[in-house]
Amino acid sequence: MRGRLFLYLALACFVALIAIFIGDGYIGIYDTTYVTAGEREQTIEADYWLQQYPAPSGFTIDYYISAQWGQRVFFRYEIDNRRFSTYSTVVQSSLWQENEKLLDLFSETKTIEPFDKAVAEWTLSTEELEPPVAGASNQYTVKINWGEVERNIVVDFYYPVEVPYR
Amino acid sequence: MRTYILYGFGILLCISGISYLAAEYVKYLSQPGKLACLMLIVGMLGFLGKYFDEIGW
Repeated sequence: MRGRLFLYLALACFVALIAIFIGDGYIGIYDTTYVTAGEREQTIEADYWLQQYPAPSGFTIDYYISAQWGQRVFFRYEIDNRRFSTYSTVVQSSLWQENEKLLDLFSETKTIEPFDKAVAEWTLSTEELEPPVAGASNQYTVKINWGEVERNIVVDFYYPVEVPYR
Repeated sequence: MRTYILYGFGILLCISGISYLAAEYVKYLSQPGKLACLMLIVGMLGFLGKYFDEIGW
């Protein structure tokens, strides 16, 4: 009888463990960003931001990508609603440089059904930007906002080098 | 003997299930959640050990 008690306690621990995995680890709202620059797609999963928050005071976490000036950078942003209720939010994306907003890239209200996903897509084109000036910064920040969440992706543009073809 | 094989099979399933779920979801767990999981795993293995001790293993 006493032996069985330990078995039941072990089973209770197992059930509680699974409940934590589901309740704390799975339920929630998660975002994934796909950035394609050139021929390379990079995936920024929610855990990249979650592992680094809370960031030290006055310090923001950014993700860096590089792209060639003149090429378009494609963004695909996915919000995964793993909750039992419908979630509605305004997804906004804008381009910033030196704390100054340059462009609005995307803005749309997304209503996501329970355990469903919403996708937002936009493109960053250098044609909409001022031509590069020698010595000036070639880094731009793409800010993605929804709810209280803000994601910063720094795009570092490099300039094509003339290759002496034969 | 058959009972022990079944116990062993059950324990293997438990461990592989926990490992799978951990690999899938542990990255999203909060710090208190991770601590609770650690304590529950210690408790579960401890109780299992005690159970086998009680039945004469």
